[in-house]
Amino acid sequence: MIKIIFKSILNRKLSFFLTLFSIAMSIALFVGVERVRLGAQESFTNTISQTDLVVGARGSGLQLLLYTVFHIGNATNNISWSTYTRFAKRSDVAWTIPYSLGDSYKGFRVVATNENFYEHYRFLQDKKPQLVLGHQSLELFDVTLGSAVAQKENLKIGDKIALTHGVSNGPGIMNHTDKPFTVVGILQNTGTPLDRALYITLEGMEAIHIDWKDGAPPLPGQGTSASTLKKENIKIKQLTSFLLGATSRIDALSLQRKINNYKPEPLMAIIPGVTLSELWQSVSYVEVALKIVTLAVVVVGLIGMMVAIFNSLESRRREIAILRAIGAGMKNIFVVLIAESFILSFFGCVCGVLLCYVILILVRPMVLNNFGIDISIIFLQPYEYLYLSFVVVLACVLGLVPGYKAYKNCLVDGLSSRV
Amino acid sequence: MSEFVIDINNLVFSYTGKKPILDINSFQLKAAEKIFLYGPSGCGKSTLLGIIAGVLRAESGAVKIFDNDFIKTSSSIRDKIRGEKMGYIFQMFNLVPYLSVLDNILLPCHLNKMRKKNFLNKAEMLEKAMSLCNSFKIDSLLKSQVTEISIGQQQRVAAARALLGNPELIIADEPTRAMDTDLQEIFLENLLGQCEKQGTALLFVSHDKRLSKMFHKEISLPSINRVEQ
Repeated sequence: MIKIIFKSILNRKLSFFLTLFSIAMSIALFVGVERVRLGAQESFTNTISQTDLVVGARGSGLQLLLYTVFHIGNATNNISWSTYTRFAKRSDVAWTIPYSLGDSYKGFRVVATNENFYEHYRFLQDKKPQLVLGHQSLELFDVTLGSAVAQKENLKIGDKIALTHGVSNGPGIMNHTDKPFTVVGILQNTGTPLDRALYITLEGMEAIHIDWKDGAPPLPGQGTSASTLKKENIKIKQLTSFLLGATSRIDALSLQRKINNYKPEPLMAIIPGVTLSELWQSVSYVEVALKIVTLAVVVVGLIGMMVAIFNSLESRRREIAILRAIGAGMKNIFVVLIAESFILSFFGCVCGVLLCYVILILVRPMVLNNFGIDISIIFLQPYEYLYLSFVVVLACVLGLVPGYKAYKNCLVDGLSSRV
Repeated sequence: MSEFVIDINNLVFSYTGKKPILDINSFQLKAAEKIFLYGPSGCGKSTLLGIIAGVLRAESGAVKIFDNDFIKTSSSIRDKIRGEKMGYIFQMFNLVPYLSVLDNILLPCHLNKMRKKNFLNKAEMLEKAMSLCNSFKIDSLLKSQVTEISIGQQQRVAAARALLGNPELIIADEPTRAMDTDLQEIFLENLLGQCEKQGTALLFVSHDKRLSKMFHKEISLPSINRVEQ
């Protein structure tokens, strides 16, 4: 019986594989949307760990998180250095990582920070940024590269680069050509937005903007030259934001309140995890809509399968009459047709899932390069297995329709030889 | 066990919602008997064969096949009896196109457990199949695809398939229609000889009266069917 089913299918290879392909595509889409969602969530969640609060100028919490941690979007305002030191020195603050942002290099963000970054930043639960080559930025015009920057721009230790003022892809409006930076270190690949940034000192950031007035550079020849600037002499005036680790989780909540209520300057502190879940919530409508669409695609795929089997019946009337004549009951014919639906949907699901992972692996670097989102490859969740088995069951139920048609055919045909 | 393989009395049959096409007072076929049933096309012979094979169910009268009431029994029992005790040969296109000649011959025995039980083991089944193929002169084709062989050869394969596993009744629905005259006689001789050898009853249907001379009994369907065509 099984042999007959398989041989019969192989007899209609082309139609079978086309149907299988269409089901596989719909399943790949269905599973793919979920993969992208979960992968993006995991990648976002893995980017920042152990940080209790992200502090910046008052505004949108989501925006603050995105530009500080994920290098998406820009800050609208800065906070003063004195305010930062005031909070950094508190006894309930274990550590802080100051960030000064706003410049870029060929589309990659420049992050001005200090040694705290190398010391306290954590991602993937407990991993910290490691140098594979050289050392961290110490001197005024030192720059440490994220792995993706080094790789894509083909930079090595000792290379000199000019940063671009503002954030822009390609050639910027204005390059800090008068004050070039020297590559001193390259960070290990982390699979997070860390890879896509350059790290300089806070003083370095101040230095390239020294003598600037109202956001405009000094006239040529009037600015202080790079050689006369000393790190010790530069005073840092402002920051974009900072990450904060409290001595205990409970302190973090009261700290958050204190920062949000800080009168001298409009500040805002957010808990990264909370803001991330707000982000997921705000896009959940889109997710639901996408899910409905992909589900509809799966159903359409299954109906297509049913139609294909249904259409094959006409040309299989002989085959069915022969099987009937040698003693196959209607039950057997039903079994053959439902088994066909089962095989199609089962292998459709298997191929679809494989196809989805292949596509995911192929597009992953592209998405990472263009959107800075690294889609983690996540295995199927238990509820997805449930969905997939539901798809197979639904296919078998749909298989009843051609089965019923075959039954009707048999009643009309009897054993008469219609061709 | 009565002496009849087929015992039909007062059979009336009509397809749903249409006027009757069969109304037969009496029709019998004894064990090992060979009957030539004459019927021009459109006289309801395929319908009668469908009823005897248990694929169609008549609404009134008595249809006893191997002592089973084919009007009352469930379709699954009728299917089982057909698979176990009957062999069926169509006019053409008897073979499953995606199976080899040998697989086609073995198909009924694979599909029906009871039919397989006629053999001690697989080796005996293959041996019987080979000897049938030998007598039908198709032993050189066993591995061929059925689409590669001629219609005459296909019909011989179908006959071998119908005979394998010692069925008690062979129903042949104009199996020689697509053959030329010489081949028809050879085929029929072969078929009759094998039925004789195995003690199998044969119900042979044809519109070609010339073939009737090889049978010991001839019945004309229009003469026993009371429905005017």
